[in-house]
Amino acid sequence: MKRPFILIMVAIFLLPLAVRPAIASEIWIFAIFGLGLNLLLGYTGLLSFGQSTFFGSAAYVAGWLMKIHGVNAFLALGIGVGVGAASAAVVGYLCVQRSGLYFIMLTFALNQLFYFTAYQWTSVTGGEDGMPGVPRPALLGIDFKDPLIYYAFVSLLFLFCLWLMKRIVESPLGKILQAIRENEVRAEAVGYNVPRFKLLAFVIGGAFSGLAGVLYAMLFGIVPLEAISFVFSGNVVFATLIGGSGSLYGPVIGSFVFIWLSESMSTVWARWPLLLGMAFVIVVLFLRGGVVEAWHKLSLKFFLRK
Amino acid sequence: MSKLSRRDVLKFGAGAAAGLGFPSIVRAQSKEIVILGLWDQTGAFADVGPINDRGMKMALEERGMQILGRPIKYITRDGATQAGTSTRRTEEAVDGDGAKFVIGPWSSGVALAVSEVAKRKKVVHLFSGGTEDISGARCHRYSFQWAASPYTAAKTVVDSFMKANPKAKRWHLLVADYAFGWSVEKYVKEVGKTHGIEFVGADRHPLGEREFSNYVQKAAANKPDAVAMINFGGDAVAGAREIYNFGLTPKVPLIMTWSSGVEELVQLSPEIRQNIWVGSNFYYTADTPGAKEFVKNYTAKFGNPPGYAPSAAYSMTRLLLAGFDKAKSAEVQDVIRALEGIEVNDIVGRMRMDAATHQNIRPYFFMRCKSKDAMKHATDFADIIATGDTPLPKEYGACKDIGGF
Repeated sequence: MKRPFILIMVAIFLLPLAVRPAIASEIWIFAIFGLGLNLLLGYTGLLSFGQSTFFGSAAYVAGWLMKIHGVNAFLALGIGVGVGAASAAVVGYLCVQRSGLYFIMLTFALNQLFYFTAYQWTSVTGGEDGMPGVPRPALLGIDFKDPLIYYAFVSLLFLFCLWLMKRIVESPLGKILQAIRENEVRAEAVGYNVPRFKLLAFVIGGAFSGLAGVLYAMLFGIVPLEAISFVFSGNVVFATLIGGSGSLYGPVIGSFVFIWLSESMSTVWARWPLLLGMAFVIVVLFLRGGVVEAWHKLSLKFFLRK
Repeated sequence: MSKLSRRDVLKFGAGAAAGLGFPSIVRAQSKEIVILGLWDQTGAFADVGPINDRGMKMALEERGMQILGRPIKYITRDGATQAGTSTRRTEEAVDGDGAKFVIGPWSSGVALAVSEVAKRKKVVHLFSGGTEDISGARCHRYSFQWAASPYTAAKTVVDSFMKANPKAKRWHLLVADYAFGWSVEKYVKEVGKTHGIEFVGADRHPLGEREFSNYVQKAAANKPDAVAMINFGGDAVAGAREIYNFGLTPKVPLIMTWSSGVEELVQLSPEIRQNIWVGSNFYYTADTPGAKEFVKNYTAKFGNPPGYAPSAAYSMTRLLLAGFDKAKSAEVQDVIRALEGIEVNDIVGRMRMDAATHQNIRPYFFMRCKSKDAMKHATDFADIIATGDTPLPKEYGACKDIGGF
């Protein structure tokens, strides 16, 4: 067995001992969300401020189906992935027509469009109050109401997502996306249809976000309005940058740091967002590669000089 | 970056998990009674959370942080004024810290979500806010509403205002677009009908709105006799300022239907406060023995008199403690049974918790702001001109069956 796999397994087993299962589950769910974003941000070089569009849409649709129509968990997750991918296809199609600042603004603007639709459509989404009462249906006789069992389920899905993302970024498709990131014009000149590949990255990222969205709704039993807000989009960008956007494991570590900081620090110090702000400034100014780069520098200094 | 091996990254991850100093899961000692104050420190009501906390602490400290001879452990969580965060942190406090009694949060919409958690986790939940659903359509055994019913508020405000301004028949409404705004708006219109009031316009704005110019222009174009705002906190302050800047007040009276009182009025200059009429769940000049003592202590401690937010937290906590006393037990079901129908004389006057709906039947206050010359001191904002405690008529009641445990 490979060592990274063992280490991730160790983290998965240790985490519920250190934090409550709900937070532990949230960390891996947020990591799935981050993996989706990182395909765009880290591998294709597209900064999307609209990832919560896919996350929230999937959570609302699947949550609604589970709540009203009693859809089973597998189907709900499948639908979530579908909704995430489909909404990403629509949004992505519009966004990839432009690049740079205009691209970012488009992702943001379309996110706002979805946000206000959810905000106004109170009969379904509950508007500001959120959509409570999302069940956690049993699957194949396994009762997910036990937080640890649900944690195990989330962890398995996370491992699958990580494996899948690793396959994607190491595949020829991943290489093309990285080529687009490095030099869009050259990728075009070599013969790749750049907008189409960007759109594909969007759709894959959207599918990951959709899966995370449904898991999130099932975890907390509610789809809050903030799940589709630009703040949520910002949070995942933030977490990924802190972790390190250039690496496959960056968003995983970022999600870990972000959720841990927000959940543990908020009980100790009410003004904890200041810490996040400082962490972000430090990352942007000194550590463009995030925690991953910080670790790399540290290990060079202390371990390899012996 | 690219030289970094996965192994290092993962080593770091595992190391961090072990080394970052996670708070281990702390189980409350069985002797302690854990009470959670869910107060927003971030988000739209970030300014309210800290003063909620003050009120709650004062009520607990009055009793020496003890009840029934057992120590009280007071814990707080930041609900972030968001349904997701609030429900999550409430659940964690219940599961992890053993909290069986929850007070808060401040936003009606968020509180409805927290109320669901209380029902699912079977913990006592006290809340103060403008949604009627907690003691209405979504009532259940575990949640209690401290604030006056939106009907009581609307009735007090509209009746008292019309008594003073019988000719003001054309009203324009400005409503915060969430649970609280909808409930109060509904009853202002109901009660308005009995006075023959014509509602020439009703605009809804999102929670956290700070730019009211377009709403105010629309209101001005309707040429109303009065403008009534059904919003809260920063929204109400920003709205009142803009309405003044556009020249509506003081010519046209402005009604703040459901105000936090002191905390909002202190942010408005005396010029802006002219001809503002204020409805609130508490005003510090209330002539009750409980209020006098509380206002004195609060003012001595924090330098300004308490508004609705600290008072509600204070009074809710006292209500909960009175429930413990009456039940002589800290078991959830015993405390709920004790709170149902409990009668206390607290800072707002006589209160009775209706057993059938879990709605507090209590007075609501209506004030008129003073002119600058009439103010005796810096916080002498207004005079209480009326109180009212008409309960919600049965035919409007949406809580048909509060249900079992």
